[in-house]
Formats: sequence, C-alpha cells, structure tokens
Amino acid sequence: MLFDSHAHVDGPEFDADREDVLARARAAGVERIVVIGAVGDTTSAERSVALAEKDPNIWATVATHPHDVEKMTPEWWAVHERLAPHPRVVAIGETGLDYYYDHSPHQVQRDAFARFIELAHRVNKPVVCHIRDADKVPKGAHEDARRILKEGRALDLGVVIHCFTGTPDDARAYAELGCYVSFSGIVTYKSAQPLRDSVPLVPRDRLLIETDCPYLSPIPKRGKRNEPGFIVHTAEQVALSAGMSFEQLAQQTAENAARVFKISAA
Amino acid sequence: MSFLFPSSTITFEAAMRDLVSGKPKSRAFAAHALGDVDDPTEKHRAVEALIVALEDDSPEVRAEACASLGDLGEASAVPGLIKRLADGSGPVRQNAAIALGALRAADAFEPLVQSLKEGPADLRFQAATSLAEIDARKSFEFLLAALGDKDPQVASSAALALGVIPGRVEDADLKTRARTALVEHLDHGDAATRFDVAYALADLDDGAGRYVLSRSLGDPERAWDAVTQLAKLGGVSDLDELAGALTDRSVPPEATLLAAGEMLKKRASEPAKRVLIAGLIARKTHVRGLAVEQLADVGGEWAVAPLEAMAKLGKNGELLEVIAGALRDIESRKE
Repeated sequence: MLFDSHAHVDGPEFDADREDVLARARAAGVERIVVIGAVGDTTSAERSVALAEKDPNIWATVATHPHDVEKMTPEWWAVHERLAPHPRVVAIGETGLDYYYDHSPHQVQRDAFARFIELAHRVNKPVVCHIRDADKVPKGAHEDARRILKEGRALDLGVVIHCFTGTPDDARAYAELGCYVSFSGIVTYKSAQPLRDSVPLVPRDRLLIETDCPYLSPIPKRGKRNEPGFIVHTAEQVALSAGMSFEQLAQQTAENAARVFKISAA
Repeated sequence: MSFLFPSSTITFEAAMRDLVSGKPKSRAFAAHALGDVDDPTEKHRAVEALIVALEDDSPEVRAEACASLGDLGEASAVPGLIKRLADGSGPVRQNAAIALGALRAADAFEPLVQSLKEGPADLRFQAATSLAEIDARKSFEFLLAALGDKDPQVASSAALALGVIPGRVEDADLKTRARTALVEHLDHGDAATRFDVAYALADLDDGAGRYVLSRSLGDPERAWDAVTQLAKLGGVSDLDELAGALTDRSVPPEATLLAAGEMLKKRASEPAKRVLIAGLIARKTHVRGLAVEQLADVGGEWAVAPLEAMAKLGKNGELLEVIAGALRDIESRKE
C-alpha cells in the first residue's frame, strides 16, 4: 500500500477528471491520500475537507500557504479555526517559510507560522511544513523554521517537513528533532543528488513520500500534470536511496504517515 | 509597518539576514525590526547594516532604515541621514529629518534650515520640528519665519515648536516674542492651523486662543487636546468651558471624562462626579477604563461603592486590575 502524504487533488486542475485520477491512484496501489487545503484563500481548505468527507481514504489539512499569508484576513483565520477541529482534518498545514519565491515578507511568514503552530496545539494535530530556502546567500529558512518549531513546541504534536529540498545537513537536523521528512518527485531529478544523499540520513520511521500534485511530476512523468498514481516513481527512487525494497519502503512510509496523522493502520 | 500578528518570531540574526535578502517588503520589515535592538554589540552591527540600507533601491526600505537609525541613537548615522534629506521619496525625506531631530544632530542644523526654506512641503513640515529638537534657541528665528509658510501643515508645525521652545530654554523674552507672533496667526485661513496656534499659545500660558480651543470640543480629532489645553490654562472661563463640555452631547465621551477629571482637580463639581460615575457603565470598555483612571486621580469616598459594584460585573473582567488600583489610590488619599 502506498500513502501519498501531500496532494492537492482538491484543485481546479483536477475538476475535469478527479474521479479518474483517484481511480488510477487506487489501481497503482495508492490507498490513502492527505489533501492539503492551503492554496490561495480558504476555498482550498473548504474543498479539501469536503473531499475528505466524501471519500474514506482521503484526509484533509487546513492552513494558508506561506506564499499567501500576507493576504490573510481575520475572516480567513475564522475559517481555519472552524475547520481545524473537524474529524477529517488530520493536520495543520501547509504552513512555514518560503524565502525562495518570497511572495509574503519573511517576518509575516514567520509570525503566521508561529500562529498556525498555536492553532495546531489547540486541536492537538501535527503540523505540515513547507520550508524552502532562498537560492542565494544569506539563506536561513531552515534555520528559522527549526527555531520556530522548537519555540512553539511543535515537536510534541508531530512535524512533517513536506517536499524536503534542503541540504543533507538540514535533513540530519530535522531528523535529530524527530521530524518526519517527506520526499517528492524532485528526488528523481538528475540534479537532485543532495536530496538522494539526504534520504539515508532520515530514520526509516520518519520517512514519508508525496506527490505534491499537480506540481513536481517525477521522472519519467516530468512535464505532465502530476497525480497521486505517479508516486510509484518517487517511491522507487526513495527506496533505492534508503537501501530498502520497494515493498518495504511502501509499507514503512504508509505506517509512518498513519502514525503522524493519527490514522488507524490499514 | 503593520503586523497582522503580534511578532514573536523575529530574531536579530533573522532581521540582519532579511535586510540584505528577499523582496523589498521583507527588507523593510527587517529594517524596522532592527530599530528595536538594544544589545550594544548587536546595535553596532545593526547601525552599520542600516547605514548601508539607506542606499537601498526601495524607498520603503530606506524610509524604515532612517526611522530605525533615529531610534538607535548612534551619531555615526548622521552623514547618511543628511544625504537622505534630498531623497526623491517623501517618506524617506521625512523619516531622515525625524531621525536627525531624535539624534540631536548638530551637523544637521544647517541642512535642515535649508530644507525648511527650500524643501518640499513634506520636508519643511518635519524640518521645523527637528530644528527645535536640535537647537531650540538657534531655531527660533527660522521657526518664526516658518509661521508664515504657505503650507498650513508647515505653519502648524512651526507653531507647535514655538509653543515649547521658550520653556526649553527658559527665556522670557523668547516667550513674549513667540506669543506675539502666534496671536497674529489665530485668524489663519486653515482651521487645523488655527487650532495648533491656539494649542501652542496655551503651552505658553496664553489664553488668547481659548475660543478656538473651546470651539473644537465637539471635534473628535481635537477634543482631547482642547480639554488638555483648557485645563492647562485653568482660568475661570476655561473651567466654565469644561463645565459646559460635561453636558454637551457633541463632545466625545473620552473628552467629557477627561474634562470631568480636570474639573475635579480644580474645583468641586457634582456634575463632574456624575459624569465619571456614569462613565463606569459606558458601553465601550475603553471608555469605562478611562472613567476608572480618572477616578483613580480624583475620586473620593463617593466613588468607592460604584467602583466596587463595577468590579462585580462579569463584563469588566479585563478592568479588574485598574479598578483595584483606583480603589487603592482613593484609600491612600483618605489617609
């Protein structure tokens, strides 16, 4: 069984063929999906929860992506506070820091990140983090993120570093904190050797895999719209880098996802 | 800058990093945050980085850097700030002038005089205030001239500065000259400037502008200042104006409470007591809080029972501490 720990199948990119996409995922062995309700305004959170209410193998998260936190209003917060305790919502996220695109000022991102961790404490759910560093020095997104996670006692709740793109040192540092580290299709790209080097630095019981679809299609699907069924290719590469068989990796990452999201084992 | 959330996540190193990376908004937030540094070593590093940021491409960043350099109080920032008086962006020029005033930068006196004479209105306005901060006595003649500035905001700024200069330098002659000049501008064509001239005259213990002040008691933006200055003047007619404000429904409730408190400091007044007691059951929390604060200053035995009753009402939970403080203050006055 494969568990896609981070997908955006609620989005309009899937409106025309969502049922077909989910059927293809099941056929590929992807039995569980966490849909991330955090893109743009709160519509994404509402859509994700609606999807999770309809399908017993889909769960949702709610938050506002770091790109968009500058636009947040008290009304957005009210929606998140209303949806966060929902039984089909298994985490708060994706929240965090994106110093690469820098769509919202760094300080606003840091404050929003801390605020979402507070919300996660209130509902006792883990935090799904989007952390992406600037492409030039001075960097610091991962350093700031680890500090905020520690100060916010987020590790008590469970922390997922989604679509990990840091250095091997960052992977080691997150692992030392006890974070779950999730690898996306990027790990299959030729230029992503540092990510492949990072995989064995993450304890096996903290490894996760994800598509982040419709973005970041893995090789050999790169250039196409990504979808949960394509996670097979990511899983193959992560298994190879971790020194595990595909079946071992699939089972281990599914168990890890069920543990951190507090979903009963399949 | 405004933060949607109370900021608890900024650190010195993060701010230093943000100042040289990211988009202008991130850099501006960082420049703003660095103005709060107080550790000496960090302060030195912050000043150096902010001086560099004075040349940032973004006017938002330059403006924040100016403001923070003023807050940090380091003289090494003065040359860079003087240069920014000629910045193409109004907020940058203004913040540079504010910072130079805050730094009491003597080297900036002449450039600010030039700014007051020849700069754009947004800069002349601030230059007047900053000159008075740097050298009150030396700035006096320039400010007298600026009272006649064609821009009402500049004239207002000069007036307010003239109201405080004689007190700073303890010069009776300057006080007389300032009063004479200000009185001539009580008929200024701009209402806001007329008010500021009257305000400045009250600072100089001159009641020539009292009618301007009393006419402003119904103006939400000026009522509080009008009460403050009428109380400062403290003459019989000034207190009569305050007494009138107690029952005038056009006066904002905050100013009415202040007027009641000020009245009771000067003379016995049953209406003023009634206003303060009624303020304890006002709909808005901040108004109730203000009533408590006034009672802490002027309340007597007559205020104890209403304050105790107020403390028992559930809606006053956040005011319990100030109520207790007011009761203690009243008790201590009895002793």
